Amino acid sequence: MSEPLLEISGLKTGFDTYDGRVRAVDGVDLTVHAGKTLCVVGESGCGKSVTARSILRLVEAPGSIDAGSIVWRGDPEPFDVLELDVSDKRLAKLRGGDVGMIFQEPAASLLPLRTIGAQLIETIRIHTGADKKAARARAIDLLDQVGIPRPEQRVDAFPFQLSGGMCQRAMIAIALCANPSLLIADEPTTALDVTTQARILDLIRSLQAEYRMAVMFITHDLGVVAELADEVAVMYLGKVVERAGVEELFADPKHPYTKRLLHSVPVLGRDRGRDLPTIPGTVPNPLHRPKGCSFHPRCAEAIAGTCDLDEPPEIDFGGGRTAQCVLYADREGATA
Amino acid sequence: MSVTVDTRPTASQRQLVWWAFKKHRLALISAWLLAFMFFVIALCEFLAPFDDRHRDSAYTTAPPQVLKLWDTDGEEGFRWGLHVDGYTSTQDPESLRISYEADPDDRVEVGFFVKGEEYELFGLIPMERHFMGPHDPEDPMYLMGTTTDGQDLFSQLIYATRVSASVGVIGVLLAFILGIVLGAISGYFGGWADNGIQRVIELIMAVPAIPLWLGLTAALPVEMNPLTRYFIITTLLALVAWTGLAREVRGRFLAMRSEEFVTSARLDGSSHGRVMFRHMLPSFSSHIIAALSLSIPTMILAETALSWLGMGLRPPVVSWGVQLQDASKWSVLSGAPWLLIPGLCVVIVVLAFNFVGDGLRDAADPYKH
Amino acid sequence: MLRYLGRRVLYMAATLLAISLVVFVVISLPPGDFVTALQAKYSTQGQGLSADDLENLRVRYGLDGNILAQYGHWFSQIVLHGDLGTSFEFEKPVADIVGPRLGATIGVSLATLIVTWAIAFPIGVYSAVKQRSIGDYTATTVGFLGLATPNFLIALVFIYFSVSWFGSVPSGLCSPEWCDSAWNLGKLLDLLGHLWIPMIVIGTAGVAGVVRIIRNNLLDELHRPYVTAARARGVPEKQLLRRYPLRVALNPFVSTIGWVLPLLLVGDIVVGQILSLPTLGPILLGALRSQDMYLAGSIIMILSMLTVIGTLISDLLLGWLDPRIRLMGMNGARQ
Ligand SMILES: Nc1ncnc2c1ncn2[C@@H]1O[C@H](COP(=O)(O)OP(=O)(O)OP(=O)(O)O)[C@@H](O)[C@H]1O
Ligand SMILES: [Mg+2]
Repeated sequence: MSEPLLEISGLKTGFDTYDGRVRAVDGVDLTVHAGKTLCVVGESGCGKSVTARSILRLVEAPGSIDAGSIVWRGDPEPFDVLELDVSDKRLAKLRGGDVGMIFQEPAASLLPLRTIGAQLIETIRIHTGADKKAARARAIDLLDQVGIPRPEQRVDAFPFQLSGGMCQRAMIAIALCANPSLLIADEPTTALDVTTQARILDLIRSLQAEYRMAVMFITHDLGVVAELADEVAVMYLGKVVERAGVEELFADPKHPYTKRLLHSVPVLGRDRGRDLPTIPGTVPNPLHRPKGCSFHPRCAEAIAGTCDLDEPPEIDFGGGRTAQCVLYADREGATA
Repeated sequence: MSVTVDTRPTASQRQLVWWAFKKHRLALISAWLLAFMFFVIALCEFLAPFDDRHRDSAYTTAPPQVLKLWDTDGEEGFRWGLHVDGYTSTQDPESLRISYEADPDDRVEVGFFVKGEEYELFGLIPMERHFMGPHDPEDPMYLMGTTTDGQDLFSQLIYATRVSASVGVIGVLLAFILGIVLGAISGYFGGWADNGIQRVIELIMAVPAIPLWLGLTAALPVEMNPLTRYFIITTLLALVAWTGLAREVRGRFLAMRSEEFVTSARLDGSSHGRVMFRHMLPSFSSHIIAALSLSIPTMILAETALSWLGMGLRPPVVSWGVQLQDASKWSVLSGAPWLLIPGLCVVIVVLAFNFVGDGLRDAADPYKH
Repeated sequence: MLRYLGRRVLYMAATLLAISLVVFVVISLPPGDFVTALQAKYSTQGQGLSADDLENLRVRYGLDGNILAQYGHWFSQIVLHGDLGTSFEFEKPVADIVGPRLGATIGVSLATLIVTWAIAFPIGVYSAVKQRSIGDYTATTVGFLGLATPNFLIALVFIYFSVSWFGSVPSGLCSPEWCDSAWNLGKLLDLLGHLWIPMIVIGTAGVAGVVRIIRNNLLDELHRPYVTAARARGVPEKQLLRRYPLRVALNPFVSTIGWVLPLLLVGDIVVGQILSLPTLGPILLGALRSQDMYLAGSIIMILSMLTVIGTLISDLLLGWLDPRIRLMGMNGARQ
């Protein structure tokens, strides 16, 4: 196993709403290893994006990070991102420098009033201090690398003149501009059509190999997980309920929620572009989190008197494999 | 395998809107204020101490009196009794201006449900009792002072509220009928109907409204019957004001046109009119009510400005704008700041309609913010 | 861009045509025409006009023939000869009355517009960026009040305090000793000394409205994905605000010309009622009161034209600022 690059532990992020505080992320532990791909899956609203945003301190009012630590080990001297001052140089270097981030809606993530070149060059200059000419040359080079045809012309195009897929490529180019060691991709293909999705995934994979960077990939799509992931974290209602290597997860899911997710799933590599299978029952409102295990109202294996009362323990199966479920409590070394 | 589904009771759409509205405290206070205003309007003749023709040439531009519960300077010292002090007048020898002062020795007894001028409540029930007034109807009781021709500002204000608020409400209702019908046609059918209506709206919006209003009202014959004038002016205001609403309604219809319930209603054999006004319109009625409430202030402000300029309503009909004409001469205003009270009324009522409208809009659109 | 420009100009022409129709209706609405009014005036002075005279006058003023022909005559006179008709009150060509005051009207309006923006823009931005701060609450409250107060009421309150404190009301645009002198620094200072009063009175509602627009637009923009994305790639906060959300919020700001301008012109009418400025407002009021319809109609026409031109300018600015409009026509950005 390679070196850990980013270690999130006990992360709690909440939002103030009229009806009280929504605990969108409620004690998440995740580790991204250098050069590896971590896929985070879960139903809509389970806190995947909020987790990703917390890493770069992008959570805005009415939200705030309440607890936890996010340790960045990419520098010779590791530091906790959450302890940095907002004006700290290390945070500035992290954002867009060591960590690149791409988003679900590529077109909306670019300012429509400025050319993609302007936005790309701006980022290059912020992180490399290159002069205008050099930055422009680098911008064209980057656009070429991410597979945008005729980059010398496209560099002066406005986002609305490009297709969604092209915009996402431009976003990737921006994310790559300072040779990041981590790329956070928050559902980068959800808004795209299936063929474009495949191309973007291939691009990310080849760039990952070329730049030797780690990828934290957030998705709904188990097909993508199967294809891309080294490790997988399954989230449910603000918590990581299961963590495993990709083969282990598909071969032997532990948590009932994961089993459900995999129930109708795909042979490896096929069925890409397919969303999570629907699971009976609705995702509870995070404001009215069920007592005990949050999944118990929808769980077929729930044990009355236990699951609806007590928080499930985190079971460590060794080798980075964990599950938060009482079903395995009496097995190997439970750490409640 | 059994799945427990979340069974918390769910609130109806109407309840949700009401709850969200109540959260807006300012909007709720404003709503009560407006309710009070409509109550005053309904009982206008009863609540006003004097009627709107009452004129007392002995007291022109007299200052407001203070309502007192007791006095201490009668013969027996302290005594209870609701009253106001009468006036003594002095004339400035140079400017010949008459000024009034409160005279503690001249006690004007004030009572509730006193007899005064006759009127018909709701235009039906003949009555002569007024909610409050001087025991002797000839005595002065001017709680907000008097106007330059000796009318009770307070009574006039109550009557003016009826006129101004009703111009706003009726005008907006007229504008809404136009706006909803044309907006609905535009959004629902699209195509050339939409195109035509949109061009007309753009044209109307391009013409600056107030000069246009001024021109149109100036063209009305001078000797027109005041009531006819009132209706014509309200209609003119409405004719210019419907465009904004039409746009909003159009947008909603456009967005909703292809939704399932519309298609299925059409497949069920409902006519276009039925689909538009029975199925689609009710689904955003709270937005419409919000927009309605937000348009009334514009209308009230326009009427006030027009009337103040002498181009809108004219005496004997009084509106806030007509009342404020009294204050336009600075030589008068400098000695009689109470003439600005109707202006305060305008501001308060306009704010109240705005707050209620904002509250309703937020309540109707809980996801917007 | 050329196509966009062409469309805008064409559209402006159509609007002006429509306005001219409405104005003509306004002119023709009062019973009787210019010649009947003239006849009534002469007969009170004991001078009769023969039927022939009347007929000749009608032909001269284009009042013979049906209403469409009359409109045609009136319109072509304006377009071809710049002849706006004759003022019945002043017995002078309308153009001679309006001409000298047009400059002052445009001047006061432009000055007020610039001041309105200069004040409103920073307040609006501050209010949005520091949402829910004391400054924001103050600005929002004052703004609400400003929008709910008719501007003539502001003028009245202003006059009340001016009289109680200084004993008089400053009026006009210049003091007597400067009015006729050539332009120099003294005159300019004197002008500025007078100008601030109408500016306050005319501009308050505009400032309140523009602050509100800026604030709401910026608040909308501040939470867009592109802001988060820009922050995520390390754009420093200061640059971020200026280059991203503010840049977008500038567009609706520019299009406020379309409605601020008429507001200012109306403000001019209202203030003219009290402060007697050498602008078009007071004349318009007088003309409306005496049903001097050619004069009134012409002034309404001119005010509308100024507004339409203002809208055109703001549309062009918008096209220049927003590549979506420039490259794809209106539809791209208005959604
Ligand atoms: N601005 C906000 N205000 C209030 N609550 C928020 C806000 N943003 C997120 N949340 C809450 O956080 C929870 C998690 O949101 P998040 O966007 O992380 O979900 P997600 O897993 O990324 O879902 P999706 O797959 O739809 O992107 C949501 O259920 C929502 O209630
Ligand atoms: Mg998300």
